[in-house]
Amino acid sequence: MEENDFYIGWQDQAGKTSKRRLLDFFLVSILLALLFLLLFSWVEGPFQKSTFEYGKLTEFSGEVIDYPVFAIKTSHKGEDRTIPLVGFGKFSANPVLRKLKERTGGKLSGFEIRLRGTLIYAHGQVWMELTEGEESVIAVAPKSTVDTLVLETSGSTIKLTGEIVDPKCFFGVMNPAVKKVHKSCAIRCISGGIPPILAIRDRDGEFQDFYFIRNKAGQYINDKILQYVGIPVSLNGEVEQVDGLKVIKIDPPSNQMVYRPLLDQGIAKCGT
Amino acid sequence: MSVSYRSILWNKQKIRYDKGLVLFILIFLVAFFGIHLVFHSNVTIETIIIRAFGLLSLVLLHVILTIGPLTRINPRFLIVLYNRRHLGVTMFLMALIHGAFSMMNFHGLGDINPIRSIFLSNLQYQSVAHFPFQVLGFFALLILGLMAVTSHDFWLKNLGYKTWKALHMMVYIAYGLVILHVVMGVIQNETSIVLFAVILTAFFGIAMLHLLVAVRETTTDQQSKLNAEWVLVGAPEEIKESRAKIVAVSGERVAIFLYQGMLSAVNNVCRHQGGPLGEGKIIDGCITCPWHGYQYLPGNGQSPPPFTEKVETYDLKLENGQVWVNAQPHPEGTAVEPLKIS
Amino acid sequence: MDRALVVWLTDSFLLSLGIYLLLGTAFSIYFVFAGANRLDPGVKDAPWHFRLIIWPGSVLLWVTLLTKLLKKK
Ligand code: FES
Repeated sequence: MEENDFYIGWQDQAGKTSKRRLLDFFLVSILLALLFLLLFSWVEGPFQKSTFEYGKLTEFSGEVIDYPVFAIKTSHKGEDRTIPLVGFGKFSANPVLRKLKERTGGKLSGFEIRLRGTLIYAHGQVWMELTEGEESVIAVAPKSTVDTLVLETSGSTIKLTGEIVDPKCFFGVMNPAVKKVHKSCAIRCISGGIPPILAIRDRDGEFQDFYFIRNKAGQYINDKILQYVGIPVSLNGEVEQVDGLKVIKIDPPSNQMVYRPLLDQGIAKCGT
Repeated sequence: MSVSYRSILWNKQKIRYDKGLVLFILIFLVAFFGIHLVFHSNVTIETIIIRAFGLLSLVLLHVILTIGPLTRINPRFLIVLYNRRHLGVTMFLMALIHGAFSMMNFHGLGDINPIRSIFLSNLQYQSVAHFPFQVLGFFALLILGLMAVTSHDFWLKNLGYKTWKALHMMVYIAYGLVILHVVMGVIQNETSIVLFAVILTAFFGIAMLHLLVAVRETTTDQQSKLNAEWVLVGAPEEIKESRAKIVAVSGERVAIFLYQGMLSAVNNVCRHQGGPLGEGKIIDGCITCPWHGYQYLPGNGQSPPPFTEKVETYDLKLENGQVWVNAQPHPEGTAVEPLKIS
Repeated sequence: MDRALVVWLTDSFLLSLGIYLLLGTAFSIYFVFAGANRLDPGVKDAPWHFRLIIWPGSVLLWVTLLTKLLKKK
């Protein structure tokens, strides 16, 4: 070490060699950091397009249904759509539904309802957050024509493989909203009443097919499937279609803490 | 030290250092946000923030862990070390942003308290593949926080060197937790094996560096394991003016300094943060620690007033042109007549 | 693992941590304004932001500091 190399913390000026070392260290570390950053950005993803119109409220009029999901049948951008409704934060919109039913005497069909909320869309689906809670219901009026729901039931049991997601995040509030990093968030949402969905990828790995998850009696089983969220699962159940919305009715696992990764490509089974 | 504390001791060199640190962070964040806005524009801003600050703190942690062993291998890197605590505190703040955002995003606005939710949402504690990795991050952040808030010299003095050092050695526990947090979290999310390989390489790099230094230092220590009363130092010519030679004496390291034709021996461990005094230099008649510049008089191991630090001193003798050091230390700050050699 | 056990462990941990930090906060108010001066004369003439800097540490390490203060008596 040369005489002028010795640098001590309280000195105002460091020697030339010391300064040079500091600069070298800085340059090498920033270079490695940027390389790592590039690599990470290159490897991560891909990310689907998704939108959450945060801060922008949209109004819709139409008939409201509560099976297989609380939704409003309306038209959006010139297309007839059934838009499922969720609550603010990680909660369902069930309190709004309850209030609504109080006003209509328990019936939903035969009423034209006007709602306001924040739109969420991704994967070709449109959802809406009733951001203002009960205030989201603007008007309730009787309607002359009554829609009939088209119900198709397969009757037989089939096996579907996909990932259980929380639709609020999945259809646009968060991105990405699948797999392990998002798992605990999805669990929170589903635990808060947001209707769980089995999302199924097509051959190209894109999510194309979506099923609401209910038990055989058609009830929500959110609290029974929490530990199966965010991982690949196979569900055995009956599939039915209500007005174009698909439902898979399963027998919920009896003890969800007994968690069995199956040999079947590491897929965990739920509701055998 | 028994002079008044200051909040942060800045000087021109330290300011330059901190500017470099800020620049590092800015470059990293700007690059990260830029790349994501251009190539991953579908990602939500929360995701970008969480990932940017997570990666940034991961990178800074690696930088921090490289500095220690690097200075042991090549003392020219000491200049990187002396302001390491600013790096540490900054790294903690970056990790805190990552943690706070993740908690708000993933656990906030839910049906249970977000902190409880970290522990109680994913319950697969018995599974390796599905382990709730956020819990690991939580504990790592707790440790890093404890270290960050005790990084001021006040804590070193008032907790005592041993406690303080033990507290700050916990960085290795935190590092382990961080690596597991990253491997079990982010990397599992991605299909590519590349990230996994990079993290593993980084981890082994850090481990190897530390191992290398440890091996080097134990060999020095083993040179004189004998419990003899006097331990051989070597010929006085081996020591350069104003510098020292370090020898191991019954489990302790002793630094023997040469100055103005005289030799003095003091304990090698600086009472500030345990810096190696023997790698320091005599400046204005005082042994000056290479780490943060604490000073000790070679004749009695005492810091010049108003400072109050003291180190042990040792007797020396000259026999047949060879210097010997007595294995029995004098109490800290005891004056010992320097050994004249010319 | 049993869910009830995890809940119990989590809640006991967070509750203890909460109580510890609450007591620490109470102690830290005394410590930064008075206790620190007694423990270390170097604090007396330090600027106000120095007290701010040692504050979080005194919340986290209050047990150690209290022991040291009591021993000093
Ligand atoms: S360790 Fe800090 S000055 Fe010696």
